[in-house]
Amino acid sequence: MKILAMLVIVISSITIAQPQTFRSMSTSGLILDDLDRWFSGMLFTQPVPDRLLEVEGIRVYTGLSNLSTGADLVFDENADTRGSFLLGGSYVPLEASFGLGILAEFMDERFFDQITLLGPGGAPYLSGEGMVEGTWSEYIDTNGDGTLDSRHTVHETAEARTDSSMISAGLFGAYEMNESLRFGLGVSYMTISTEILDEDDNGSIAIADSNLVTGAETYTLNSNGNGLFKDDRTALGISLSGTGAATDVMDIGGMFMFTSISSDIAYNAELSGIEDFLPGQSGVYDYATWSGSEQYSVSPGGNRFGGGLNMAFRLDENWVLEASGGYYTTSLSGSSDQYSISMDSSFIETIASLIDSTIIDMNGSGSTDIDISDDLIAIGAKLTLDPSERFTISMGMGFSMIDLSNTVHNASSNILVETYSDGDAQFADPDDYVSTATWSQTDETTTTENIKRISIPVGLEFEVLPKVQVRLGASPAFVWEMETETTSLIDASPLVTHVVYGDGTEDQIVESPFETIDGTLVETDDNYTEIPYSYGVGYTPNDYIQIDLMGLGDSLNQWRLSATLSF
Amino acid sequence: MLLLLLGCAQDNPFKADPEVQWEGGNAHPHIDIAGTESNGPGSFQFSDLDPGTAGIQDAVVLSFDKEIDPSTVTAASFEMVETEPGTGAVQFESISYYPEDGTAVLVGTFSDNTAYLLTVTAGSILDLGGNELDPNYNALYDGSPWDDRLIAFYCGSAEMRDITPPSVTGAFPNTGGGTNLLPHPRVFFTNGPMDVSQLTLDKFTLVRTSDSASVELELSFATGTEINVVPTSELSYGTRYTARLSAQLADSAGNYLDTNNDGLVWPNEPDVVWDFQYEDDSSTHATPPTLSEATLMPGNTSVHIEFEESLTGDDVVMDDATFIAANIQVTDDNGSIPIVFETGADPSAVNCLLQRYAEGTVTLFISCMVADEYGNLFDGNNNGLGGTPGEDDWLGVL
Repeated sequence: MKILAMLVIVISSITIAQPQTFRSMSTSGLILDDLDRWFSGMLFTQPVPDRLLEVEGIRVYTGLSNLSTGADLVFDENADTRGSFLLGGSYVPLEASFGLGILAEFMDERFFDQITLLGPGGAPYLSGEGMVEGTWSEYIDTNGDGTLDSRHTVHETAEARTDSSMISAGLFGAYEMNESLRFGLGVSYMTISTEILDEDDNGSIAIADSNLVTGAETYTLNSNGNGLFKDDRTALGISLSGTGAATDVMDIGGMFMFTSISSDIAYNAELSGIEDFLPGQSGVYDYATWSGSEQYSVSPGGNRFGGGLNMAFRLDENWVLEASGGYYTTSLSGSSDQYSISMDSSFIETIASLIDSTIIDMNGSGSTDIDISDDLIAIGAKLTLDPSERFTISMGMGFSMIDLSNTVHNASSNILVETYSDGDAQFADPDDYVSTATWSQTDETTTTENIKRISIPVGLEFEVLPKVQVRLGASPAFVWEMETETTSLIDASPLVTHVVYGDGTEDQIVESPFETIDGTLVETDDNYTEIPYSYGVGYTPNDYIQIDLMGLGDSLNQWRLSATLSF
Repeated sequence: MLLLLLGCAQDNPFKADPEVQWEGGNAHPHIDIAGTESNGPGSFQFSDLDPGTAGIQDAVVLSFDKEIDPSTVTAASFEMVETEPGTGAVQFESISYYPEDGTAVLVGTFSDNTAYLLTVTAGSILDLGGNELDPNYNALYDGSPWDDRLIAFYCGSAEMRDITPPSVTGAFPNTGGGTNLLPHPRVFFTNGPMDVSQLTLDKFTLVRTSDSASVELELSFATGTEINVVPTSELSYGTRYTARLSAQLADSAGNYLDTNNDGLVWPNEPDVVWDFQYEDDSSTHATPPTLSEATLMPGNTSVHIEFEESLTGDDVVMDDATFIAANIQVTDDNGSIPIVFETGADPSAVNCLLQRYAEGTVTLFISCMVADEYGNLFDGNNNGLGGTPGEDDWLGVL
């Protein structure tokens, strides 16, 4: 069930990731580059496709653009080269009334966990990634006669890895109705798949002890398990936007978006084993067997929708005042009653002519309900001054509030039946018994996060050399953060064991003391100020390429580079 | 805000509510103590608590071991009748249940020098979990008469009704080595007297164990404490016989027979079954083998076992084919030890070669399925009768 708690985090993030250019990153998001204008839109909340018409010509975004994460260290030869790659661009013919934009991102990767196997005396003897397998033996002179007479051999395997893949694609178009009105439409699709093989679930162990003199096996144990966690998520969205000229100096724009989100989460694990103290001895038993499984599946789904308004007011030739407001709300929910766990085991032992047996049958079932909400509201204004082509400065003020909430409601009930017989067929045998144990619990965990931020960013860009721009940005902000995690015990029953012996006597044992965690609250309420600085350099060697740099410092290894082709 | 609102509503904002209905459990309730109000728990004598009123004013007090549903403690759940000298029914004047101490009080007016029988009708009284009374303690609801709870009372010099089930104190002969070919198979009873009219030959059978061939019997005599039969012709040497007395018998008061002597009678009470066997003559070889000696050899690498004839101690020749892991086991502190069996010149012995070093306490198990050359199964308790699982298995620490 812990996995379900993780779910709420990953679901809520499915539509948030958006590439951001180096230009806007190094100017605190105030001075936007071409891609930011139409893809990140107002306050970075959603695409505004009609703004494609503001980017004339052709832009091509490739792996050189370093847009997928912005964190690739291209000059560090030791850096991990894995990651997604992004491909896209925009096209607006000169003097045309339409524009097109496309952006796609692909990612496929496999991570291996480090696995260590323990050898004689519990000391590690094998460590590796992916799938590991090893065999070791221990030879013993059990009777001290100077010759080795028993062998203990262990063969063990283990496997652990995580496979992830992601495909996202968006197609956007813009059309200019007339000089004072334009519209844009975009559709986007994203699918993310994750498969996790956990070391605790996937492995086997085989132990064989033998007599070196006669070759007879004296003990065997075989146990193996496998388990797979799968998480498939899909988001399909549309975005609409339009901008019109309200006056000669003022444009007003609006936008709307809707995204449908679906997901399938499933976990399946199985375990089985047998331990035999009398291997190869027919008709006599001293062994234990066990098998078990655990499954659950849940398919949370929902949608996100929202919109916003934008106003740009040209104060004069060099001054532009821009004000924006955006809002979206996300609601996801899912229910599952497919959680189940079972474990069957038996212990069989021959005692002279009798067969002593203990059979254990455990079954559990449960349900999980998930509700997630994610709301954001952002408003802001910025004043941009372009006194010359070589200098741009922008100052703004913004307010944003993010309100996250998720609730996971778990219910489970379990029953364990243990049947013991000493095998003597005695009437009303007080030694035989059937024990039935039951217990159940229903609990709920609610996590909330509320972040309010008032920021006063400032960013500037100036040309220090021909075709070389230096960018600086700072975004001082007041931040109020509150996080809470509340757990509540809705219902619980203690472990109650009812035993009926063969002679009819009954015994009932209730877990005592029955201790419950009735509820907990963890809360952080933090107020702070922050002043994140950013800087970067832009270089346009010719009309066809723009190079942007960030992370500039003493070490070239830390430099980050983005190159955009334009025609 | 939510927490604030909850905080205003109650001290604890959490919703814990672990009150579930496990209190009743699913074990059956019982009346563990009965008595009278006048003389206390365990006393069944009524005494007059109100001399100013005609009759014996007293009450029955019943104490339950689980919480009872008060709505089931009604007049319909109880039947009180006179058993001496009259036979009429008695109506209680009031019936009350007190949950605080789990007792029911049945108030009535009784007659001097009179005996009574109270029947708490099967299935009438339920605990909070809906479970019926289980007076015969078999963890099941069997219905009437098995789960009727009977309690006898008396006033003055009246004799209480007998409600104790009769039981078996012995069945004979029950060993091997018999020599009297005209034995008197017999069963002794206590807590009777038995209803002699039921002690008939159709309730008593004797068969030859090997092929279940019936042996004709005559009833020697039957009394309130014994049934005694005799074969109409001589039995045979070297032969084992199985006697059976039906459990479907009652004493003169109508109480069913308790064959396993546990004080309780179940619907599936087993018949009384036992074996006896005659010694061999020159033509038979039916005496089973038994253990003579078992030794853990120095070095803890093998166990040596020797067998002999049961009762006589004579030499035997064992069947090597029965020396298998299913019949002879050795365990130590680490569990069972695989064995390789080795037989040598001595036909009455076997060496068990332990396939791993034995540590700690070493225990030997010999199954009753070990046999001698004639197929006679092992007699672990050395009573001359072999081959009974459990009884004739042998185990011992070496």
